[in-house]
Amino acid sequence: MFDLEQMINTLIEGDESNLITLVRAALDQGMDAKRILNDGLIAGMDIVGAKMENDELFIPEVLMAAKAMSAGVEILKPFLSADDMGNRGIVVIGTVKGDLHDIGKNLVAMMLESAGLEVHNLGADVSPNQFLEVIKEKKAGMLCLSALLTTTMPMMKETIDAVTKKGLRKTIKIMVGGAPVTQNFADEIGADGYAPDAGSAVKLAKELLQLGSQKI
Amino acid sequence: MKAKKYQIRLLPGNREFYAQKEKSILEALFEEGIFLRSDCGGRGYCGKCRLKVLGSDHLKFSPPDSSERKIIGQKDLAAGYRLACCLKPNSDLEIEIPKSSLLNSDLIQKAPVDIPLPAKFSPFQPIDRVAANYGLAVDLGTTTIAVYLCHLINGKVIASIFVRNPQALLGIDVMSRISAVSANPSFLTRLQKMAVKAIEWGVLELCRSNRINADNIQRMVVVGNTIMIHLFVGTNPSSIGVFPYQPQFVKEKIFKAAEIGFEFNPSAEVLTLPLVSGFIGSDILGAALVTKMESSPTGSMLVDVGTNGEVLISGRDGFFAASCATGPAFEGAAIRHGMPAVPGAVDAVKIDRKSGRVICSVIRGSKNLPLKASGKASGICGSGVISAVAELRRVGILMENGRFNLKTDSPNFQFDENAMPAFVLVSPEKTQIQQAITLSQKDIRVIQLAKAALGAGIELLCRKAGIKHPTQILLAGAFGNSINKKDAYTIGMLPQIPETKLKLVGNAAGIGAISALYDSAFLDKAKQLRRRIQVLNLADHPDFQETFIAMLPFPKI
Repeated sequence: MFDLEQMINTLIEGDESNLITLVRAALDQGMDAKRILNDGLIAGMDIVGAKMENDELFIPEVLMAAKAMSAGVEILKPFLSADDMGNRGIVVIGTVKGDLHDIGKNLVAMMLESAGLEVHNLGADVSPNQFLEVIKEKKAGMLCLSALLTTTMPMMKETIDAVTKKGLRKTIKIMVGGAPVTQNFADEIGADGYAPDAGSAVKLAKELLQLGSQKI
Repeated sequence: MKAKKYQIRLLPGNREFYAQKEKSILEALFEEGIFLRSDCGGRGYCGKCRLKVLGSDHLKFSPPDSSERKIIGQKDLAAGYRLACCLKPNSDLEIEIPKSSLLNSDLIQKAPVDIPLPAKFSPFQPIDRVAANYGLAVDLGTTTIAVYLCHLINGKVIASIFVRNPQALLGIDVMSRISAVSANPSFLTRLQKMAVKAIEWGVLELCRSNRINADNIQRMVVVGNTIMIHLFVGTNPSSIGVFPYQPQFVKEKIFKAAEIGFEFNPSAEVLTLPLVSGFIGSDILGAALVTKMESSPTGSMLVDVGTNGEVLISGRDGFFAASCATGPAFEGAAIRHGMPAVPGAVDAVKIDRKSGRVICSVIRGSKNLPLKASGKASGICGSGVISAVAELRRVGILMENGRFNLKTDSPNFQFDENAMPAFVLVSPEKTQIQQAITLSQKDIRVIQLAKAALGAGIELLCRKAGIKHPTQILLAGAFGNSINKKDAYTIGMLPQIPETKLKLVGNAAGIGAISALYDSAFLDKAKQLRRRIQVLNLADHPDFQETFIAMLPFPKI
């Protein structure tokens, strides 16, 4: 039986070339691609997320792991059916208007992608209208909003209010994050969830999307 | 609804005042002009604002939470000790403040000025030679306020004092203070008063210890970052909080001391120097002028490290400046055992290669002001943190990616409840705080973020100015001259240019304020220079993310 443990550790180390070798080896030995994805790569990224939470892994290492992960997924793709690949959900993500910070949000986007979600990253300084357009166009099931400045946090509420006003609130889950954001604040502005870091963002997104009313 | 108030009685002396229910005792005392030590800005983790509450009602009405319990300890809690920043009155209280909790004049130092001041100066106004002949220079920082007492006639800087900025109670960085004001405009007055009261406290301490009548202070010059200056003069800085980060004013301002709430000499003149942009303030402008940046060769770079790291470079066509969000780590704040560079702070760390023993140098009190606690450490200052991180890198205890190398099996590792490591620098019996002084994995991450923010800013600014490497670096800021150049290179906070080209210029912003006190042409020079500076906004720079992430690991040894 192929040892997924080793694959997981290689992923956590962010060792892209060895991970590719291991993913190929697993396929050669007849392991189900879906199992490699779920119990190897995605399980590994869950650990990366947890290690990030307690400062053991840091941004560059998490990015390397996420990069290795996508390389692994590319190899698996031909062996995965559309169902396996997930299409678990379509996510629109961006930093709210007035705020130009990108890094944390991009990390979340990468981690969500690693978890098999379709991610549309709109960048920074995104107005409520820009969010609305893409949500409608892509039929997104989840909106992730980031703010890194205490001064731009109110814009999160304005964005959520705009979604509600357009009548889209019932069909979309909204998750918020960013250094100054708290669970209390998320509750206050009517978001469905708050994640303190990229690792827990993925966990929460999966949870919320399974609970979501909309099946994509 | 009117806030409920309780009576607080201070023992000994029986001084009484009222405190609002929702405000901490730390803040209430501060409003009474009583300053306690508060390195963490009232966030309940430095444990320096302990006081004793008489009677046991407080335990019932305002019970301590688990973290306050942990910091105070069961024994002291039973004896009535509480943290002033955590204790909010829910009943009338009688309290006693231990001397060790008071922000005291041990912090006054001989002014560390080593840039020659203008030899000749012509004061703005004729000075009455008998009476009003003192001036004050203030560097109003986000985390630390430096106040210099100067003799206007003989040009001497008599003494200086460093005070933690009490505005930290409403937010540790400028952005959180802006949002406090945006959310509740009444905070503007509160923040304004806080700055003024803290400066005034410093002024009165300086006057007292130098036996000077405060009535004789004729002028004050204040420099600071743009947001601090807005708050100081009572202007709402909200517009700086959101893109495109525009300040309400950039010009210099002149007041009578009483107009902005000072009491020491109501008719003294207060001048704030001009600002450059939302994030480039008069502190960097002042520092640039005293380091002669305006006439320096292309490629010269001034780096002023405070809660933000401001960088100014002389490019082929003009000057370029940027503000890097380093956070206050280099000032010895935002890390577990951080403190300002005052007596009791570890300021350098060596690890014996053979025995692995950690040797710390601790800042002692000057001869005139002996440190009572005989050189025991109470925390670690910015240069100490940089030195410790550099040394840990050199001996291999800290890896390039910033993680502790547990395979080194150092006996100095200590683990918390989540099994996360911290490195013990000073063991509990050698500290004034009855606990070990450590650097945690989280502290290391904070330093990595800080140095990458600075490094990325420097890199992008060089590109913008069309320069490959700075030809010289003038390093100003919180750690003054105590930083070791090699350490700065080892942790990767500055580009590695030849050591002789890296010059430490101390608190150049403060010296800028001092120069402005003496030199009537200084203000004009500041106005001229500000027009020649182009500001680069790092947050919306397309290459910022990549550069920043690339700078996060430590350089190879």
